Amino acid sequence: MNAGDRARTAALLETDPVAARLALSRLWQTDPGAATAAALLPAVSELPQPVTCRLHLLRSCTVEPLLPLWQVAAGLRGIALQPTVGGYGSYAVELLQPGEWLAERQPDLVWLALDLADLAPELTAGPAAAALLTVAVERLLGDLTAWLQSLRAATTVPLVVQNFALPAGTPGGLQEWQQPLRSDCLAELNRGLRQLCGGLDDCWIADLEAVAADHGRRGWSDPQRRAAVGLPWTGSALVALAEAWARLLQARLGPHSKVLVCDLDGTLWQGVLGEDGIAGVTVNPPRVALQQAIADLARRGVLLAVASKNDPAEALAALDQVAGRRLARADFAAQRIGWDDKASSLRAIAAELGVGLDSLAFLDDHPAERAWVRQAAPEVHVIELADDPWQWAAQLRDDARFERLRLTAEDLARPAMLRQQQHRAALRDTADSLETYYRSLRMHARIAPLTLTEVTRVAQLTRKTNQFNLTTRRRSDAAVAALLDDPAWLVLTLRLTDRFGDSGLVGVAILERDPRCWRIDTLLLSCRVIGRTVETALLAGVIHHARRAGAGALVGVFIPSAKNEPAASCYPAHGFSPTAAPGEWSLDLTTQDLPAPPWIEVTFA
Amino acid sequence: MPEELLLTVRRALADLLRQPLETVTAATSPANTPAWDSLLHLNLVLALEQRCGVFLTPDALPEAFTAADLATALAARRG
Repeated sequence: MNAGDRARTAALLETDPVAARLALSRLWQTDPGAATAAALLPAVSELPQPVTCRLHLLRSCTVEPLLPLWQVAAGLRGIALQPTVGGYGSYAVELLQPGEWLAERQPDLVWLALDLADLAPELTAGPAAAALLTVAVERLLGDLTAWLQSLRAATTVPLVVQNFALPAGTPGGLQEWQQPLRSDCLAELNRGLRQLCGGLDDCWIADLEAVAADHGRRGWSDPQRRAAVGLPWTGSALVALAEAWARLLQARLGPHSKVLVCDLDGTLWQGVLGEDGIAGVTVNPPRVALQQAIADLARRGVLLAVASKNDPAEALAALDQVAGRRLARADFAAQRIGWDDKASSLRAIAAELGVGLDSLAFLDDHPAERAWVRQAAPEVHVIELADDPWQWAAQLRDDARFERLRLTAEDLARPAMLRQQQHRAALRDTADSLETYYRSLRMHARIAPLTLTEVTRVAQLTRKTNQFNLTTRRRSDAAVAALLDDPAWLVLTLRLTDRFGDSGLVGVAILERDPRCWRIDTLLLSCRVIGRTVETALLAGVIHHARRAGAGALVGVFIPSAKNEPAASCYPAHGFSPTAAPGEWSLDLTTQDLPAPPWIEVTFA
Repeated sequence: MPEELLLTVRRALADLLRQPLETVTAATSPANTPAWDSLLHLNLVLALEQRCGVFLTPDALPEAFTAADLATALAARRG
């Protein structure tokens, strides 16, 4: 990093952090590595970051050179990564007795980096008998099970476990081509580790084997350096790891984009519609690849929209006639085609889809449009497309803003649900009163105690809902599952359908059952059903269960957050009275009733 | 010693030490640079490996060495 670059980024950090992030990303991509990471890290640390992660790394080997690279790669993605490292080789004790370091470090995430050469050297070098390799795999899986279960019992923070990479070459000779015992055993080990992590709550695989294969095994590790300083990776391997691990962190922690907004001219097709006409624009091979990448994102639950400066009728006709190599007009949930500037179009799209500007990603071939959006709507994630359209599909696939580590049924159903939402909005706009609108929806709510299959969705709702969440108490899958078997607690779920379709599980009440007075620990609704009086039906369900158990009163608390203002009046609006405790409200069940709204048919299970 | 390799070494060192390039010279060494510890040296070797495509092993350097010695060792490895 020369003096000019340093001065330019320092100035941008003062005046334009969005441009500073882009400038730092370019410097990193030009020469990623140890020296560039050291030079960039102070500036990257000054970027405003939406996510902070105190990461504690337990390791069997030297990892220190990875950390600055990882911090830069994560920082450029919007994650302020604050790593700490466990003792060299003391991972087993730290995993089995995690109390002290957990209390001291207070990590947001724990990462396990164990090198196969340390754990089971027989799997990495020289010829070995099948029985010996099988025993090594069984022993290692047994150890990993004990270590991970011990750690999971002590903390609910997310865990990430690196799997194991096949060594380069054929240490057992070419007979390994005929009898690939070592690679079979390693595949078995990684399969076992994946099953182990899948059985633990919020425990994820960091696929070292995939990253090594992608990088190339030759040049992944240098045995002389491994022996001298305990570092299992070369300089280029460290760059590949930093990028892959930052991507994984982003998939788990964010920041995420829910909507991809696409430009048309020059982006989805080649040519300018206004100048070339429909006959003059074409979807050439790189744009076919781009459309395929966009269609793949849509299949993973990402919403698509169009923002284009064009004549609307002509552009829609072109979408139907020309663009549809991989995409169709109906794939785009919102379309802003006209002569508004792109930032205004993006704001309109966010409003129409009911998401924040920070949920949008913007795809446009024109550097000036990208620059304008960065300036006028800095919350939007602007994808910095390369000059060569052949790179665009890969750029989109590599963008971790769209990554999730696990897709729920609700994630996959998001585009269909959004279309239903648009139908509802159209109905609301034409109804002569709110009551007419509610009645015309023909809503049906089913309120029932939580079942095992709903645990992941309920935990996800406690972690993701902000606006209609009265206490914002976040819970892991394990914490929700624990309530299932606890007689002191009852968790009620609300599923909603209406004339436009099934919204799924959209309401949760977590209740502490005192024999005389039930306490509402959590009351939340998915943002997709806010404004339809569903909370009244949910409270009616709570009262139904509390009365049946003989409770005389219901007590709830509202804990204000930066985002839950829409829920602030929930208790007073439903007849609750303030108690002496701040933010606490109470309903006397012996004298007061709270029926469900007449326009929602409610079923209790 | 090729000047181009010396410049590469000085640039990598300047980045790692977060110092202006002009403060890092051919005579800069672990002995006269307190921040040049074993971790910084490992990072320097990794950076040179990437920027020059040459693996430097510990035995490639004399016990007391300077930036210029590093450039010479890189040149020798390149052949």
